[in-house]
Amino acid sequence: MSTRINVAATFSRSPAGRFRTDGPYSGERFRDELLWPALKGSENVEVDLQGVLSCGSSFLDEAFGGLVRKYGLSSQDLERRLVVKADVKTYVQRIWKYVREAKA
Amino acid sequence: VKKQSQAEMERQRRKWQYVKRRLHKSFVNQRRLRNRRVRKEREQYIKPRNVRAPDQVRLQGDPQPFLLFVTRVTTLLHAGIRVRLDFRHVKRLYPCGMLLLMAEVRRWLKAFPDQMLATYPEDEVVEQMLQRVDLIGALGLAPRKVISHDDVVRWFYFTGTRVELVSVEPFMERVREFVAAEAQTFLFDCVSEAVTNVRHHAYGEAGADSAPWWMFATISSERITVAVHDRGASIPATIMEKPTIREQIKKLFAKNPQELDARMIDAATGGRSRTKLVYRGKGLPEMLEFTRAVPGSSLDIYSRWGGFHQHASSATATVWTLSTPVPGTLLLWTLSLES
Repeated sequence: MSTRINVAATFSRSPAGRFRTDGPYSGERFRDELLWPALKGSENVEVDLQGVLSCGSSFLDEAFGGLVRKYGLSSQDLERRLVVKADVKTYVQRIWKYVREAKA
Repeated sequence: VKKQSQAEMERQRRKWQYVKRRLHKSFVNQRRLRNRRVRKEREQYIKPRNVRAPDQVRLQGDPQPFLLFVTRVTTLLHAGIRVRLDFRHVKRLYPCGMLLLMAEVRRWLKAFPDQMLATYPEDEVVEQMLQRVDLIGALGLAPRKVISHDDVVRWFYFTGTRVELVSVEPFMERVREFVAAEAQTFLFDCVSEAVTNVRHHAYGEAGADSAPWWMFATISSERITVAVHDRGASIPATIMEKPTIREQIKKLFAKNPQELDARMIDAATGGRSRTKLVYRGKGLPEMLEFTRAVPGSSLDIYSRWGGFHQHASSATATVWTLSTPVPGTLLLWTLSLES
């Protein structure tokens, strides 16, 4: 089973910040409320960043790198189950960089 | 004997009257002098002191006149003296200078609400600009212009205390009309990180809930400029909260400690962070990385005594020590549309 998360439509066009205390569209909130439940419920998850106007590194690191740090997922497991789509190629590259750099 | 006695009494009476007159004169003089002194002191505090704003309100190029203006106003206000901000001779406002001016005026008005006055600028565009960002009204002047000039209409001003860029989205979309999606996202990823840094570092944990930031952005036919400013502890101060042994030694033996600020900013852009966590401190290095990657872009950082400049065409950054410190931190991105 596969789940698709359209960030611009279901979360925000300009997600920003690392922790919940930073703001309403933080990486921590996206990870805990959308990404982690999707990964728990589906074998494959597609995160669609198309239409997003900006995505700071704090948001990306906490949302995706945080899966490794907080939930103990391995980078290999995520690479197998997670697909990221974006208008801007560097987002995809950065997300996988943060995932590989993160330590449980 | 009787005549002699009467003459003596008359002399004594005249002498006493003379003494009385002198005493009275002296008393009157003293009172007059005291009144004059009191009046002078009162005038000093009640009559506003005129402080002339520089022709060019900016930090890039020659920031000295504007920073001196800010320092002078702050000093007078702290001394209890009323100040009239004299904008008559201002000819040009730059985003970085404008942003700092707005933050300062808001702070002055909050701390010294009854001590601030201002004069209208003589320049039409400058007045429209000050009116657009509501400085004219805030300083007690009546708005009298219709905002119509192209340069003014294309200026955007945002402020907030949280990392929330929803209000900036219309400006981001406008930028996308001028540049490719990659360049637009580069610019606003930097802005997003700058605002996140304000929340995490600038005001400390105690002040994070009311951590204000200000943003000024403009689009012209030549370039897009975005400036973000906070009044927090500054980059050098936050880094020196947890200094390395090397930094401590450098600070101890530095001839001029102010020179260390520029080096601290340089260290922060290289990944040095207050938290020292591997996954933190990415914001400034990535801003630098993006600046080098996008042709025609540049990044300027002003924080306390330190200045930092990186242009896409240059392999290395330039750092320098400011002659007057900038309160907090100001980051400025410029994206040349010609490139």
